[in-house]
Amino acid sequence: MKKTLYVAITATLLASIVYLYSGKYPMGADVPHNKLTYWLLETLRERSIATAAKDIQVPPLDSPDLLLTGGADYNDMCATCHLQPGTTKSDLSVGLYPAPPNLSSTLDEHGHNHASDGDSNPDQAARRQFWIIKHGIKASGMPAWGPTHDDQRIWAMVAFLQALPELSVDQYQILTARDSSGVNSHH
Amino acid sequence: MMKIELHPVIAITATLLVAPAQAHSPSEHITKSEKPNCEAFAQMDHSSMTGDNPVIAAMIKKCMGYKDSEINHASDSEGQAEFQDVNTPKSDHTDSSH
Repeated sequence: MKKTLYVAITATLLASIVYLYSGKYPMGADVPHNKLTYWLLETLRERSIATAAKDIQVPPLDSPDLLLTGGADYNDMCATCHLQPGTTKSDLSVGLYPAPPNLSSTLDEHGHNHASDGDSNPDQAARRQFWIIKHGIKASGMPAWGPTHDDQRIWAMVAFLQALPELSVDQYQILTARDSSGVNSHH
Repeated sequence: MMKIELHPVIAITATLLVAPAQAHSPSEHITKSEKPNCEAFAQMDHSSMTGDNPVIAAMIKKCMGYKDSEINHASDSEGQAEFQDVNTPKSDHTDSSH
C-alpha cells in the first residue's frame, strides 16, 4: 500500500514536470485558466494577502481631504483599469487577465464583491485594499504603488474606494478633477 | 575585450540624477488639467444632502475654491442659491444672519 502511494506520487510529480516543460499550457491572456489553476492561484493570492494585511491599522477614512486627494490619484492611476461611474469597460479592463475588478460598482459582472472580497468587515476590506495598492499583485497587471507613494497617499485612495461605488458621474468628476491652475492646491 | 570601469563619482552622479525621477508628487500625475464641474453640483438635488456626508463635504470644499470664478457668474440662478444652502449647516437654515 505504501509502495503504491509512493509510485503514484512520483508518477504525478513526473507528469507535472513533463507538462510544465512541454509548453502546452496556454499562456495568452485571452485564454482563461482552467478551473484547477484558477482555484490554486486565487487561493494562493487571497490567503497571502489576508495573512500579510491582517495587522495593518486602519486610520479614520471619512475625511473630505482624503477623498479629494485619493479621488484625483484614483482617476490618474486606477480608473483606466478599474473604471469609473458611467463606464462599464475599457481596453485594459477587457484585455487584462485576470480582469481587474470594476471598483466603481459594488458587484462586478460575476456578482462577486471584489471591494471586500468575501469579507463583510469594512476594516478588513480597507486593510486588503491598502496592501494591494501598496504592494501590487504578481503577474496580474496590478503594480506596487508603495515605492513611489507614501502611506498617506495610499490611505487616501483607500478612503476614496469606500465612497466610489455610490458616486454619480458628476460627483466623481468633481471629486477627481485635478486642476493645474493652482486653485484648491492647499488640499 | 573592452573593459569599462565605473568611477565612483560617475556612479554617484548617475544615482542622484535618477533619484528625483522616482519621486511621485501629485503634480506629476496631471495628464490633463480639468476643472471640477461645480455648476453640476449646484444643480443637484440637495434635499437629502448634509454636510456630515464626507462626499458632500468634499464636493463643497472642492467647489469653494471655484465659487467666485465658476459659480458667481450664474449668481442669480436657483442653482447658486442651492449651492449656498448646502454650505450652510441644516440647523442654521432659519438663521438669516448666517
